[in-house]
Amino acid sequence: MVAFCCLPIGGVDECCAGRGKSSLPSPLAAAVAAVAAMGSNETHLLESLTSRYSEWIMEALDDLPHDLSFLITDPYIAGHPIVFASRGFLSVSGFSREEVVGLNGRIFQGPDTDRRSVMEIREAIREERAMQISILNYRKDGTSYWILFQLCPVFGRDDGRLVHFVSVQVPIPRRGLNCTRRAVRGGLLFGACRNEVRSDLEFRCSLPFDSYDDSDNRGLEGEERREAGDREKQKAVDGVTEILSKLAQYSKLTGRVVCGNRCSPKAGTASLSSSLCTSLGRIKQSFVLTDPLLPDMPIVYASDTFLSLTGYTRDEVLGRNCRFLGGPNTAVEALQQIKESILAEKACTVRILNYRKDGTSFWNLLHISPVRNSSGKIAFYVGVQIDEGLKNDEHGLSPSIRQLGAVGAVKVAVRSLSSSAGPSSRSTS
Amino acid sequence: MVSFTLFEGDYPVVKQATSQEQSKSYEAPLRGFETLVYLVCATKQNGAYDGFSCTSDDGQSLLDTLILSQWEERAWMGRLSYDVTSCETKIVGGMKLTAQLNEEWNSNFLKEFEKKTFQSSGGIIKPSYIKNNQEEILFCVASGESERSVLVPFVATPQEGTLIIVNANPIEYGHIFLVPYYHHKRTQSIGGALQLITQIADEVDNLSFRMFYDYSATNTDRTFFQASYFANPLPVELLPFIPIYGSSIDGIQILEVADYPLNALVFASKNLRKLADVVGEICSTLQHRNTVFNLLISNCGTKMFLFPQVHLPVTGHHLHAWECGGYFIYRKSLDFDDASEKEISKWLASVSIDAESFQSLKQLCCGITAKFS
Repeated sequence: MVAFCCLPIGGVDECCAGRGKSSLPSPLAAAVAAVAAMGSNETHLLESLTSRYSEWIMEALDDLPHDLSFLITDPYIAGHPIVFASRGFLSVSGFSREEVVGLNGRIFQGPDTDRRSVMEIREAIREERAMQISILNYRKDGTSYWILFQLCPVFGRDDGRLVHFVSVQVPIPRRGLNCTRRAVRGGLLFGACRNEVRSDLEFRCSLPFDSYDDSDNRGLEGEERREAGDREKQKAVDGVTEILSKLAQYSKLTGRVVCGNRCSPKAGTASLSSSLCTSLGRIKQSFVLTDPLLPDMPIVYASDTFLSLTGYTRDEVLGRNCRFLGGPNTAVEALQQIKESILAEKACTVRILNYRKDGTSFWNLLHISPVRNSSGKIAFYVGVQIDEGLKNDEHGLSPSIRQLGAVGAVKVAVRSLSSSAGPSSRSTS
Repeated sequence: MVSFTLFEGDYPVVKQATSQEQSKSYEAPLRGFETLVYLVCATKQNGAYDGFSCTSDDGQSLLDTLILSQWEERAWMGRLSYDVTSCETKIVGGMKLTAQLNEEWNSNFLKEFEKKTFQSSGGIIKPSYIKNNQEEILFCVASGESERSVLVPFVATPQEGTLIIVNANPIEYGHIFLVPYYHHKRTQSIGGALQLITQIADEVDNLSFRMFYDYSATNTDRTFFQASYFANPLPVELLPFIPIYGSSIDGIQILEVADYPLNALVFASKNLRKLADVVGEICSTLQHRNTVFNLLISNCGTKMFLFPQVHLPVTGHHLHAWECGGYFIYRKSLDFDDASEKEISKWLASVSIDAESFQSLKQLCCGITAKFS
């Protein structure tokens, strides 16, 4: 966990000193109140969760699998503190819950945490978007460990406003050599470092230690950067999905429902490069691209033909999972078949009953296929729809030819080196 | 964009082809073989090129859809040796050379394909190939008589045309072989084949689509082309060009690729028929002189790159057209990681013809082009 700093400077402690009035708008008031009285501090951090997800949320989150390591932070409270730490996280990091709740996630950084990765996370937080990165974290005893860090914002379903951030951490095992080298001998050294970070600027800790090049630190430098494999990535995504569904479920109890995707046009399209959008725009078939690396596989691209087929506007579909096309008479078997082929990373064709926005239904000859980028990784799943009622196009081409032609064109476009080399890239190393 | 109509039932050209089956054609391995037949429109054939549709916003062309869909289907059915889109590619150096890591790459695929497909001499397709490998044949392209290009489902192949065959060892998405065939003639010259090939490039109308032709002493009587889809331009296409011939709007321009380790020429024109005639004639001349060379056709047929190579009879190791274009495949991840511009440049330079030969090639090309103007 690193650099969850929305408010630029100042730890929790400083913030309270200046502003002690309670006539401020609610989030800030909560923040101020949270830190005004040391005794009620914890209460307010807790309220950050209970006011949104009901008072049963703590228990519900503790019911999640014990090895699921995650944190929930509240960007509206000064210092962007941790408001929940899972049991899995506590056992890996060696901290107690009391020790981390209320603090900014950057306390888990250390001297060898890559600055650029930290910046990338901060940028994602600023832009309120999901992201995934491999990063070096530090335990309470000063030892370090590689994790795949998966960040996901939580939004209010109705107003699209940011509520919390969820971050899942999946340990990345060392590949190849099977030696468990302690990152550092002097645990105290890093304990001191963390204190410094906690009290002030997030990156200052690196300065005093950059010059350290003695035998104690050599072990660290030898520690190679570890990249997450597909297993870790899947685990992280699955974890986020699980947590989000819990949060969504319990938020219904307060009536202030949350979801993992902001229902606004910008949230989805931002992840595709303009050159890719241009290439995709040439394909005059009804299709969508969904991003399997984002929680719940939201739609990140929808063609014009898809919009005219379903009757939705682009804003209404981007950021949502395709299941909204289903309805009362949609067969569970068809959905299951889709799920299975996605899990197996295989293509499939399914005849499925879908519903338009106006409630009318149509038989959709849906073809779904994984689409890989120039790194050879699955970047999207493409779903090409054909309304069975409109079988022949003016050339008399069969639905399957048109569908597979569109799939091929999407696959060519996504292989573009530029489309996966942009800043929005997730899978480049 | 060209527009298309589907003809139900018998189509005149195809009918004519079948009726002539009675005549004595001694080599007709394709006789009776039924497949999808794409007939290119006649107006373009007659030289009435009315500019280009590359920039049109009409979406995918029919031929493009056909190639992609048939290829994707074969890939989905597991007919290919591997999924080439799972191969990592990267840019190497300032020249933006492209490297691909493909551990399942079969570097002998071309020789194996020739052995499997053609009779040992004469460049004729083996009847047994047609019989045993129908799944590999995606469809057939032939010249039509209509004003529109049309798709005729499952009829006997016309007397002459080009077979579109999937390459099970692709270098990129949509890698195909294009094999011109004749029922009545024994061999096919590149000059003759290039007309239809250029027309295919035009009708595919997709800037990602690139076609290749490799000529070396070993495949003298087998004329076939390859094509594949590359989302990015091949490195050689991005380099500066120095004009050496022509300037008029309708005519042909010859340019020289600057700052490239491999000496290369570019022929560019919007008049595809003329471009195919000129480049075809130059290729025929080079073949008669036993010169090793490659062609890369890009930009919907309007740009043709000519890469002459030195004859290396001892090693026999010549580059493929995509390699000449700056696209290299590595089988080992160590080599892929170490890929450097310096090393690739060395390979390119090692097959490049010297300045003197290149100068005389330029003269030859200008001379032939002038003849056609």
